[in-house]
Amino acid sequence: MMADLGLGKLAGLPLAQSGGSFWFPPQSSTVAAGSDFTYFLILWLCIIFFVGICGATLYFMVKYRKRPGHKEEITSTHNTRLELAWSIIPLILLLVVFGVSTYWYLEMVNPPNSGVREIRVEASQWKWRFTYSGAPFTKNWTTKKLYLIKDKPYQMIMTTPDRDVIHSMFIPAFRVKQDCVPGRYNKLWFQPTESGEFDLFCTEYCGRDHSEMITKVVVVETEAEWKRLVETEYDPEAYTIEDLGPVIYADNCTSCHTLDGRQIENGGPSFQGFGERWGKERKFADGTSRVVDETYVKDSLEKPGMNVVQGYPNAMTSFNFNEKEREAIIAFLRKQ
Amino acid sequence: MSTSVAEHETRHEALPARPKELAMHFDTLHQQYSTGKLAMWLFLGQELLFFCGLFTAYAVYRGNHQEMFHYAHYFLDWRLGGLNTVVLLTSSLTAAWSVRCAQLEQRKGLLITLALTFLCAGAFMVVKYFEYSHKLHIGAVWGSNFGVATADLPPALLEKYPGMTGQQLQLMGMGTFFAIYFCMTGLHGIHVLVGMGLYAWLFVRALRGHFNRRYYGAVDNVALYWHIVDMIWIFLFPLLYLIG
Amino acid sequence: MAGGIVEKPASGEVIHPKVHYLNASKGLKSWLVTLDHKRIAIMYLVAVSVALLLGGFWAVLLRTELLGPRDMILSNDWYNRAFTLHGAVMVFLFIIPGIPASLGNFILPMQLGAKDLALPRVNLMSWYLYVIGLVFFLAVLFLGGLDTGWTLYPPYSSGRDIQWNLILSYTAVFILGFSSILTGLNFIATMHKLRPKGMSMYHMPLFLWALYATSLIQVLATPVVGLTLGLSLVEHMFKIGIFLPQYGGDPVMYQHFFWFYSHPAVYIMVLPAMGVQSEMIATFSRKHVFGYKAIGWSSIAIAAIGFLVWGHHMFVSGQSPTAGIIFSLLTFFVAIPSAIKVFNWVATLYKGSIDFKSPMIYALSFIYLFGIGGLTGLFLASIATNVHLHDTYFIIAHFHMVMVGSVLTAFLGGVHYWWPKMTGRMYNETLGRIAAVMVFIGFNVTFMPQFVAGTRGMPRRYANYLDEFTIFHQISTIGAYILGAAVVLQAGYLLHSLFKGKKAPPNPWGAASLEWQATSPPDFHNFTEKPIVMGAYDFENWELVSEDAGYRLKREVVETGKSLSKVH
Repeated sequence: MMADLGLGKLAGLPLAQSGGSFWFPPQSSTVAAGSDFTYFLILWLCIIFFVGICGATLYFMVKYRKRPGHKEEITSTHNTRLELAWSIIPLILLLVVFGVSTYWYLEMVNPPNSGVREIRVEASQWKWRFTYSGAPFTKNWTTKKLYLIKDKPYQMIMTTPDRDVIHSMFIPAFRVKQDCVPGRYNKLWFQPTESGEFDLFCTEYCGRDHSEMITKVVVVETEAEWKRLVETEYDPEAYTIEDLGPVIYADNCTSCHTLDGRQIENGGPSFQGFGERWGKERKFADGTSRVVDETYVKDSLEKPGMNVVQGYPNAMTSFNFNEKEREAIIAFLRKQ
Repeated sequence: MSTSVAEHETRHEALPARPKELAMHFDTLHQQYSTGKLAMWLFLGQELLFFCGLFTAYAVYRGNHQEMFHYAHYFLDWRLGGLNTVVLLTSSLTAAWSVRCAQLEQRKGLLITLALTFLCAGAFMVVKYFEYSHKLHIGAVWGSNFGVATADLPPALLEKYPGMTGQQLQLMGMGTFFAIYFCMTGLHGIHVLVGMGLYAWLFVRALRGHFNRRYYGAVDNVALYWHIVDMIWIFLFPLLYLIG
Repeated sequence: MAGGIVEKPASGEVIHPKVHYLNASKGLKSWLVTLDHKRIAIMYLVAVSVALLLGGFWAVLLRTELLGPRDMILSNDWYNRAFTLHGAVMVFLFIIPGIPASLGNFILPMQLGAKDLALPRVNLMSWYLYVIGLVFFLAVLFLGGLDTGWTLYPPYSSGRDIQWNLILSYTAVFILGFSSILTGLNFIATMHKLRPKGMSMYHMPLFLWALYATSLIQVLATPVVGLTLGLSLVEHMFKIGIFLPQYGGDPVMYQHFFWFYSHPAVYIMVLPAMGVQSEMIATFSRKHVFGYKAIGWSSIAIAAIGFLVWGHHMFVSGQSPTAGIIFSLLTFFVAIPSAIKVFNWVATLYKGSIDFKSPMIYALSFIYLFGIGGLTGLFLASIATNVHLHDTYFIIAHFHMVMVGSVLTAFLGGVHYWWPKMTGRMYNETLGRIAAVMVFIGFNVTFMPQFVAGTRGMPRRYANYLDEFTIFHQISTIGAYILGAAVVLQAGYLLHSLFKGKKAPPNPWGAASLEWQATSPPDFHNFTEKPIVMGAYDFENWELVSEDAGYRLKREVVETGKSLSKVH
């Protein structure tokens, strides 16, 4: 663990509500200490220079202020030695900072050689999905929170669907961040060192609910606890078709579709009265129309641009649900 | 100061009457001419940077999709591109010649060379029109709009790769090549059109006898612009048409 | 001899010109078709002030929304529009053209001793291009605003269905780019070709060196953003697949292209501010600026290195770690010439006679605010800390300290400094000082808490936030109100001075650069007599007549036509 370069304990202040220091949330990953060390190294250098600059300015302001009886003196207009000194010394200091910073950065980008667990991250407007794939995971679980086990290294394989926009995953307590870019697979690794719940933010502006695209990282101590959490968070098999519909709706649809006829700005049509439209023709923006039935619901989920209802933007991203989930959605919609 | 002002005034009186072409804030026609020329060079500098973006995009996508660029060059006819290169080089010659004519006050020569430059530029655009319309016709266009029927594929391509289909090329991302192709040649084409406008303007001014041996900056500067348009094409031609 | 400062009676009574550039011709048309750089500068000043007020309005609106963690006055959509328009208007319409096109346009030919800019028609054209850009942004406002963020990143921007407000925004930035390029090449041509005899490059005031460096960037970097937004426009309309992934493009390439311009653009903003700073510091401490060549060349160095650092905006976008490390190193290098300037300004104060006039208060707060803005840049150049701080409020605080703390401060300082010259009137000095102090306090209260919010993880561009960040946001909003009040106060007393202000003498501050040898306001031809070319910081050539009559050239200087200064 790196030495705390001070100020860390300046933290008795009421600002530190969620633990951690005045400046930072608690260090909870293997790379956090390095990042903070670099931060405080630069901070102290800055304080020295800043106090020097402002101190000299203030001193001159007082000493040489315009007043009766005081007159400016002509002094030399340059001094090569002095100027070289105040160019070269900061340059050397900066190179040192660069060295320290790069050393820690290399720690951040190079995962350990073995034992790294892969998690696929899919960010889309405005939700996170984490899929635990490959060994040692036995089944492809997908969750909304990120579940991790303490002291195990993880590699994130991150992307976002082609029709979606750029997002960025930021876990302040881990001091890590990486963009999710459509059409690319970016990687990010970390190893949590503390158990508990931490914030996970989207930090690349992604539209209306950018500021709601927040979830939690849950770090637990044991494999068993992890398994219990992942399995119970969301498992379509654990629900009846009846109960599953509202769950899917709450997880995926509420940011654009209401149930009470209210219209969300730049969102889609409300689901109110959907059941009454069942089996009837519906008109679309491009002049076509089709009957509202099961295939229509499936197409609307998977190819949302195909039938855009008149008066609404073509803004929906596509969803791939399994058969049971789809049945649940259909049942849910028919009841509206 | 009184002496220096007197000096200034005598100097002012000693000067010949100001030529009508000389703007208020310049002292001499030469100063005015060289200022215009420096500004033109700076403008050409910004033109180069403007095109640089596209050349960078070309380099990046070429690096990422070697195969796509390989197949793409079958779609472009090097004979038409070559013809256009010759046409543009000729126009650069006449453009340079027009500057010479303006300097020597050869009015007739100036009018002829200006007209020839304009006509060459026009010929370039005509050839471009045929190239573009063929591509639009067979569907060799940008992005996901790319969709060439296998029957419309260039014969040379089918000869070399008999099993190739239009759909395969589409999946390969041929649309990206044509996005770059149309952006680069389109932007260049816009510059050619602007050049034609400038040469028409010069022609009218020359007809009215605006230029003389002391005042020909406009002819010189437009010729500079025209050379850079020509030079950009010299790079576009091999990058798009010749490299397979 | 008529006019000229030389004719001032020895009593020190100032003759105010009856005919000057402001009334040489009359009527709206005489302004709209003017080729006079001074009138164009005034028209720019009016236009950029409108942009400043517009951008400031959005800032106050969005700070008010952030008073509480949940919806206060704006929905998410309107919050997003507010910060987009705040950013776009401030960056493209205020900060980039602000100092060069208004103050620079007015002062550059006068400091050279020239009659006008090299290309007066091009100058007028660039003003019209600017106004078209401004009108387009106003149109965007009435077409329902824009919510893409000022950076217009695809796919969020160009990937959507065709929208008029987006088309207008792309076109507006494209046009504004050309306005900027034309101003830049005009300045360079002027500085090379219109310097009178005796005015070497090393005689030029440092403001002109700064404008020269700025112009280089404007000419060489702006075309790239022009092309990028041009391509985005074409892509938005025809989906050609350059930047949009669903058609085969690469959104990260957009970021490279965009920042290749937009990082140097930061120096387009800050270099002229540093130039104004050099003038004000020297004048109000009555000292020859320390390290003239170092300050001049550091401007050029910043411009040059500025072209090589754009990648530090993409440390976490998926660019390769090697590229990231190289960009990090190059970014550190920019700190050196910036630091050199600050040290030189402080050294200039040494043994001076420091007069706390309003422009000087701005100049002194510039040292402090740019100190913070510049030093916090080190945290972002350092890649290990940048990963954590990227896209948080730390970034917001950092670049506002530089772009607003420094640039707006220098702009306001410059406006006060040259106000007597431009308008021929003195503003109310007491109110000027109060406003200057308010601006300083406002900045600090607004942005200091944001640094801590940022390190604690508050992401930028959030309409709603977690409760734990409330206190930072509330303090910040109070600061924004102080800042807003200061700007309103300034607008008030500056406008008032136009009608009721005392008439200004030719040289109220005792500054030594050539523009102060002209009358206030200057003649249509700038100088009624050929100015005496001398060093820009040879303050010993001027003597104080009285507080009201300002300074005049010493008789010895007038008679010999030579500077008394031994320095060189």
